[in-house]
Amino acid sequence: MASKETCRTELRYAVRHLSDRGLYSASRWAAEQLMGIEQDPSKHTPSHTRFQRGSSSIRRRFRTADSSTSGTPSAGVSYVTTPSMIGVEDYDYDPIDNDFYLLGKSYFDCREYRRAAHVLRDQTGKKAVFLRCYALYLAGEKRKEEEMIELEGPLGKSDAVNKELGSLERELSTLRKNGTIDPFFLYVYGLVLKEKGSENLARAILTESVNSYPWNWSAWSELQALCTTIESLNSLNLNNHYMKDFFLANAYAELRMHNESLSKYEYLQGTFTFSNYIQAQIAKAQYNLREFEQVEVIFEELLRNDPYRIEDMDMYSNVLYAKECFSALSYLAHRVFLTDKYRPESCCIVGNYYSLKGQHEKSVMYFRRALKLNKNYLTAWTLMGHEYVEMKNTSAAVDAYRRAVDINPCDYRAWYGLGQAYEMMGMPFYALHYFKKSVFLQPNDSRLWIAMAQCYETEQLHMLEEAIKCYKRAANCNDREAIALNQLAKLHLKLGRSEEAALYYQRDLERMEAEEREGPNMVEALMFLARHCQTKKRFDEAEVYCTRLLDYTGPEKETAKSLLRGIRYERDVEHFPP
Amino acid sequence: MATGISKSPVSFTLTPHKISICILVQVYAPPSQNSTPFPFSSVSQHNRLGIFILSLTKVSEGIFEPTLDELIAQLSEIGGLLNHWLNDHLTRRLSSLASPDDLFNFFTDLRGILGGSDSNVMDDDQIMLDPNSNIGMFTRRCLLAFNQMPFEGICHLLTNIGTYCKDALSSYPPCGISHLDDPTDDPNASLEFENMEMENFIYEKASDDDDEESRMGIGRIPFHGHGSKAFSELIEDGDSSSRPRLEHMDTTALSSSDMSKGIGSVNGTFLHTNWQVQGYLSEQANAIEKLGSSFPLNAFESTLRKLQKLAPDLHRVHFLRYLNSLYHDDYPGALENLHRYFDYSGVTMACSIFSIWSKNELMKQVASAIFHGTEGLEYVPPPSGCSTLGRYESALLCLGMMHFHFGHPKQALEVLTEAVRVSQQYSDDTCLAYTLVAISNLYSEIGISKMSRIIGSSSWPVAGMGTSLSAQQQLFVLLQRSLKRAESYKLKRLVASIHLEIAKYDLTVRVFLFVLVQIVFVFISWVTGAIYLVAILVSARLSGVRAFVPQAAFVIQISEIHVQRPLLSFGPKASLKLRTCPPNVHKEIWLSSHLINEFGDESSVMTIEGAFCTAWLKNLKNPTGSLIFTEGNENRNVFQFCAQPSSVPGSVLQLLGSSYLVRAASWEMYGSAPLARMNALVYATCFADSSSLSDAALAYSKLIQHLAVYKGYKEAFAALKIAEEKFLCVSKSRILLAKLQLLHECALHRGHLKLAQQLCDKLGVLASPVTGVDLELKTEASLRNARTLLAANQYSQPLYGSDVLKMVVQPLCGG
Repeated sequence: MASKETCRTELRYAVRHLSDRGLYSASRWAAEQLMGIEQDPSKHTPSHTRFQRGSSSIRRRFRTADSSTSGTPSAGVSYVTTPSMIGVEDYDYDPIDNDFYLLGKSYFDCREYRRAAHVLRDQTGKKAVFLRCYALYLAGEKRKEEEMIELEGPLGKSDAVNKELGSLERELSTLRKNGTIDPFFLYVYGLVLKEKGSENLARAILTESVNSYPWNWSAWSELQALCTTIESLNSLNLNNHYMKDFFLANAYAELRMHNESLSKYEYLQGTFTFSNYIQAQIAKAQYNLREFEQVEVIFEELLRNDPYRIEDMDMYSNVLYAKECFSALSYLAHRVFLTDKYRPESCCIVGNYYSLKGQHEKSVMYFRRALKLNKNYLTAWTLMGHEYVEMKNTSAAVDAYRRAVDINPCDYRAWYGLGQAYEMMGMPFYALHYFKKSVFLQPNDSRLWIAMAQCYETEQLHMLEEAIKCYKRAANCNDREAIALNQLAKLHLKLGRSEEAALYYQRDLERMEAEEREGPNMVEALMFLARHCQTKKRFDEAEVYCTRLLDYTGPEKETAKSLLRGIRYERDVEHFPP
Repeated sequence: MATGISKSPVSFTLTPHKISICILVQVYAPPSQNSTPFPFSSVSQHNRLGIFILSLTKVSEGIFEPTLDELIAQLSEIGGLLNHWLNDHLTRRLSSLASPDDLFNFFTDLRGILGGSDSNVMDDDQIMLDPNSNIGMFTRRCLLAFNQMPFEGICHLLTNIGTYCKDALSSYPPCGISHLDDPTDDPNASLEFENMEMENFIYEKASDDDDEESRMGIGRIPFHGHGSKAFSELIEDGDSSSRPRLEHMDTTALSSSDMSKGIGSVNGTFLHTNWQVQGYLSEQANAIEKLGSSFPLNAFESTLRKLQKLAPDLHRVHFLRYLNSLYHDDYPGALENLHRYFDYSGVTMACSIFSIWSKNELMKQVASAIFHGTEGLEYVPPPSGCSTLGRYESALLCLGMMHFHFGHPKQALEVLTEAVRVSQQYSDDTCLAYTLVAISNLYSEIGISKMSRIIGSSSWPVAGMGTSLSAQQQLFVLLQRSLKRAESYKLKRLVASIHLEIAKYDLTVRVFLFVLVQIVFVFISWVTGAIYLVAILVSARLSGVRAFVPQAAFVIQISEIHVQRPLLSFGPKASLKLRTCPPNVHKEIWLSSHLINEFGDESSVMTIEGAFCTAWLKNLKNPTGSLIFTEGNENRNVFQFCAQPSSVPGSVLQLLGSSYLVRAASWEMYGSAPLARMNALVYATCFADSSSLSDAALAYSKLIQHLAVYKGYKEAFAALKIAEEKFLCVSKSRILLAKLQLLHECALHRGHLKLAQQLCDKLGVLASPVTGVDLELKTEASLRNARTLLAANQYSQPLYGSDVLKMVVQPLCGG
């Protein structure tokens, strides 16, 4: 990987390049990573490094400006006065063009895209042309969003089309043929192609773009969205660069290869030690690996550093929900709502809070609001499904889950929810289809296997052999709730295979001992094992189990006593046959 | 009219095409004109335009509205001398709509042509559009839609009209424009004149733009020449290079058929009305069922994909996809789409269709009965509060049938059992009735002994009957029960189907008491003319035949049956204890077809109207010209006549056809070959269009076999050749079976034992290796094998003897 100093310089340039072209989110991302790079301790006094973590963002910004060697201009300085900053990008010095560009850029910044495009219509400077194309694209997108609402027909919203795509495609492809295309054009070209549905070409174009200009994170994200399988990901021909690692880590996470993704991020953390982005991504991976404790720690730290962050906070709220932290969740909801209440994440967090409070109607309302803000918001669909299940409105739940699944067919939670809903309606066989889907996507989740096993076990189906197979899988993948072993033992017992039952009871017992858990399962296991050993004439073992049973109060104690008596009698009979 | 489906006014959206129709309506009924208004020279010309407009509002061909080009092309077919004038007028009026205010004025004018509600005040000389006529309703809906339209909507409409005209002009020959300068014909000349300059300007601008566009388009993407740009873009996927070719192949394979147009090309960017799209979809569903695997999979799939893009809430699309994959034996696709359809169907149940499918033809009756929905499970408005309950049972029922179709009897039974349980739980008796029939069907197909082994002891619907009854009795009891249930819920089609099923069941019970009692042609009263004709012809023949079948002849036939095996078999052939007699069989058949009488009046009028209109418009395009309006066109051939939609719902026709098939089988069983032949003939002539391909193939193969027995092999082979051409596309079909049987008979007859043996082997290979599937075929193969061995005098060999026995008995016992 490149040295930290190179990274820093490159990213600084990149922020400038990107924001000159109105690629704001990419520029924001680059700036975030820039801040994430650890300072060189040799160049700074300890007092500086002490503020590295937990310091306010103002202080950090101050320090960076302070330490910059090449005299990075502060935000207010126009790039025109510092031509040295233009660096690698070829730039049109014609002053008249430049004025046009400035006006266009200002319109662009005020989100008056058509106006910006109009001002820039006859410009030939690359930046101006790019800005025009991009402004046109955004204008089309904006109109598309509006039309989507306007054109809602009797059969639902039809997909409105960005009307600028055709002309943009023509223009960009001509540019490409002329060889005058630069990586930013390629990015917009890729966007256009992707929206038009020619995915293969879009993938090639975007690859070209990121290979020649790797710091445009938006291009990487678009590329990632086009790689839905591991094969397509591997077939990309990408230059080695640290940005590629960011990309791969993200792509792995989306392909549910969480461990691979995690290791990539940890590697990147070597350079970008303090990147909030990487931390949030690590949290995401950990969340998917169900390491809730760690996720919580990470998010607490993130919020300390970046208190107004809303991205990814819905995940944090899920963790808090799972851990039933009422006050923390309410605090988070409050904070996020004050920051920006019209973000889907904010609504989702509030929905989660109400759900935890058991107020499912309100919860559904907030999920609905989240979906209004972003109708492809997967989490909200799934969570809303859960709420409907709680409210016993199964058909609404089925609908919500199905929408989630149609947005992303890899959402195992929604498949699981569908299965659950149908099982609730007394259709276990029908539900099996959905459970199968979900275990296929997430084969290492014991809960899914257990749900499927319970489905097989229902009295309507009564397919015990299949249930046993499922429980076995569940037991093999770290069954946290420890249901599988006990169930396995019970099922084997039901089928009259006492040897197997004894085996599983024993394993269950060992596990309970290891985790220091007590409860009815313990008693059940001990009782069975005692009886089993007695019938098998393994009296010593039986005696051990019986003595352990004596520790409990209640009927078990009496039973244990009588068992012990029986064992002694049988022993006597054995030793001194009559 | 269409009020049943489209309840909310939003469901009717104004599109440029509808504006065009409105313009034509204005021409048709101009305000304050004499009885034959200005541009028309005769009343018939005037009426023709009326019918054309009517058809345009109802046609259910394809999912997209036609472009202006296509409309103009159709218009020129009916216009005759008025052709140019109409085209001019249309394009001129359309392009004069340049600002929102023009639209307002246009609709105010349109309001003027509607007559008042009190028709008796009407002046005789004046043409007023009756507001309650079909065209009047359409006009009113357009007015309503316009009045409810927000300003954004008007903006969209204007833009759309612009592109609509522009697309047309790019390829439209300049004749329209040249006529533009000739305003003498125009009744509203003064009005039009004011707009003249502006119009020309628009034309110029439009053509300029277009030039530019096409210039650019040709360089880059010749794929989108003009029109329907948005759509060709939508479908232009990564693999666009391969798909058009595929589509092309599909459509060429189908080019003779009538639907190539609707599928192959994208007509425009606007969907037809909800009702028209639904009509199209149900027509396609019928077509899928009829054509089976020869239906173009990919082309239809891409149409559906487009439809789904435009109307994401039209969940019926998923069902059509399910049917499509089902008939192309795409198990994962069918499963996926079935689940998706039923997951979604809960929220928008109002207009969902329903169909289920199964391998044998009885269930097809059930399927189409439900599909056409007059008594479909979901058509019955459920009591308030539980409006979505019906679908889960239906989902299970469908899934069960699907498993049955794919040859998973175990899963099928599992699912159907669950369906029974769930419908009991929600007390959905209709579904229960259907499910029970489905189960009995499954039994009769697979053999109940095998079934009870699959089921085990617990939890199945007829467990209460206990084991005291024999397997066949159980089936019979099950059928009786479902019959009672169906009768009590007035599911007429189902009752008819069950009667048929019982008849078939009785047929399988071979009791040789031959009493010829009932010949039933009572029900023909409702059938259309052609069927009448054939029926009369047939009954004339019948009267001759009846005398010809004395009991003595039957005895001979019996011996023949023993030696020759019945040509056709339904269900398992085990000999039975239950005694039923032929009168019962025919009573059942009669009951079944008798019930069909009641459908004469309650058929789903709307779909048929749509189909009529489609057919009418299609005829416009025929090179021979309009069939309907050419007088004295008596020599139309029968096939064309049959292609015209009849007023009887397809499912009922199918059911009726099926009753003929059963009848044929029964006559065959009772030994009257001529009657069997006749029934098959009736089926092949009258019902071939409404039946599925495999049923038709069955009838043909039967006729061929008859020929072989009575007219010699030569004729049979000639007939076979014809049939093979007709049913070319169906793999593993009845025809292939018939061919092999025929060849085998022939070989045996001539003593070519080796060849016979080979043919037997071929026959055996046809059947699937899975146990419990294709029993009929397996039985057939074993029996033929046995006969070959017998003919070779090898029965003395113990090895062969036992083999033969085993071969025959095994499939019958289902194991």
